[in-house]
Formats: sequence, C-alpha cells, structure tokens
Amino acid sequence: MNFFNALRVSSSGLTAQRIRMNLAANNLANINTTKTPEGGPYRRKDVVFASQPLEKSFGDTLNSRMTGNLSEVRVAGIIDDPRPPHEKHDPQHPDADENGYVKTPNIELMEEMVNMISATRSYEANVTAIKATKDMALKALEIGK
Amino acid sequence: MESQGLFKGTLPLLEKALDLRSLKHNVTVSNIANKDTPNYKAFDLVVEEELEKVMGSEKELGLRKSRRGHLPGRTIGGGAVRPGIDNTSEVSFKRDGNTVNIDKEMAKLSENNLMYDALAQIISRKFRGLKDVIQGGK
Repeated sequence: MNFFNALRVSSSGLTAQRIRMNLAANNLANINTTKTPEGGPYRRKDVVFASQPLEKSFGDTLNSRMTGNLSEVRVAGIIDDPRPPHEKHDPQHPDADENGYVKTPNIELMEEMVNMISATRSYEANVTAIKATKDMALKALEIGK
Repeated sequence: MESQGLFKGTLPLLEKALDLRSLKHNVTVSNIANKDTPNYKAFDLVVEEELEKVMGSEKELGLRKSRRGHLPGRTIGGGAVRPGIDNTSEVSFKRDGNTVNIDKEMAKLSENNLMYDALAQIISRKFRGLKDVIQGGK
C-alpha cells in the first residue's frame, strides 16, 4: 500500500528529528559539565543522518525498483564533536590545571539553539506530511460512497 | 451489449491520474523526511507530463481485449513511471550536498493533496452519475 509507505517514511523522519532534539537538549543541559565518566569535560554530541531505500519486504523492493526511490531516514550514528574543548581561566575551580585554566565543553549555545529550532521545524514538516497522507487516504476511501 | 462505453474514457484517465498523484505524494514525503540528510538529492515527478505520456502511447500493459464486449480492465502498469532528480533548484545554501528545498516541498505537498481530493471527488461524481443512469434517474 502506497500510503502506508508514505507514513513509514514520515515516521522515520520524526524519529530522526526527535533523536536530534534529544541530543540538542543533552548538549544544552551539559553546557557547563566538566566531569564525565570518561574523564575530562563533556563533549558535544551530534547526530549523523543517512537516507535508506525503503526495502523491507519483497513487495517493497519490487515497488522501489519499479517506481523509484522512496527513502526513509536512518540515524547512522551519534558522534562526538572533534572540536577541542574551550578553556576558561578560573583558578578557584576544582578542575583547574596548574595554570588556572578549566576545560569546558566544546558547545556553542547559539549553535545548539539554532539546531533545536531547525529540528522542531523539520519535525513539524513531517507531522504536516503525515496529516496530508491521512487526509488523502481518507479521501480515497470516500470514492464510491 | 455495449458495456465498454461506461468505463472507457474518463475513468482510466482519472485512475491513472490518481495513481500518479499518490506516487508524487510519496516522493514529496520522502523529500521532506530527508530534508536534513547529507547528500540526499530531491526527487520530483511532473504528473501532467507523465499523464500525457501514458495517454499518448497506444501500447498498454495489462489484459488484452480480444472481443468488443470485454471490459478495459486495469491497463495501468506502475512500471513506466520513475521520478527524476529535481534539477530546478540550482541554488543551495547548504554545504552538505542536500538539494531539498523545504518551502517548495511543502507547497508541492498541499497542492498535490488538493489535486488528489479533486480527482477523488470527480471519480465519486462519475460513479454517482453512472448509478443514476442505472437506476433510471430514480
């Protein structure tokens, strides 16, 4: 069924954006964290998206080969941002080194806010798409009534 | 005994148009879901062009009609249509190779939705008309 595929693609988008949102929240909450289980300051987490052809069953595969490329979104992985941590001069801090510098997470507040808003908008776009799919399916059911 | 007239002409065309609209919907949904995926290329399907192609060609997949009284059946094979890569948006502000223009996709989504509704309504009317005729206008 065509519409169910559309729903599946949209919901994969929702999941992906929600994970992105969770990571943005995670980053914002830990913007001042200097102690982690791995040691050192918290490192910014980011998500990597990959598109994946919708081929779960024989029917899907046949369909996608015949009519083209429906792709859902997959979270390929969650990576640590490789940028170096910020350094702040604060000799009173228990985590300060011998020169009085504290390593703080490599998180930019504004960057995270923008990321968060972008994730919200993408999520909303997918919700709109789901609503449209549902409306169309209902309309199709009305044929012949 | 001329039953062909009832289901020939408008209905197969509407059917095909409806099929194409739902395919276009799927393509648009896929583009929207992949709006943040690096290197994803947006796809597009121009329904009007595909419809013209189908209507212009005499070669039809499906059941062969060997007698005059045979119903046309479902002549539409989904095989011929393939959405192409959308080349219309050359300007991209993203550096990740993604070519989805979200404003365009959302507009396309609602336009396609409206067109689908319209088609569904026309088909409904068509059937209602047929029913009226069958019942003798009662």
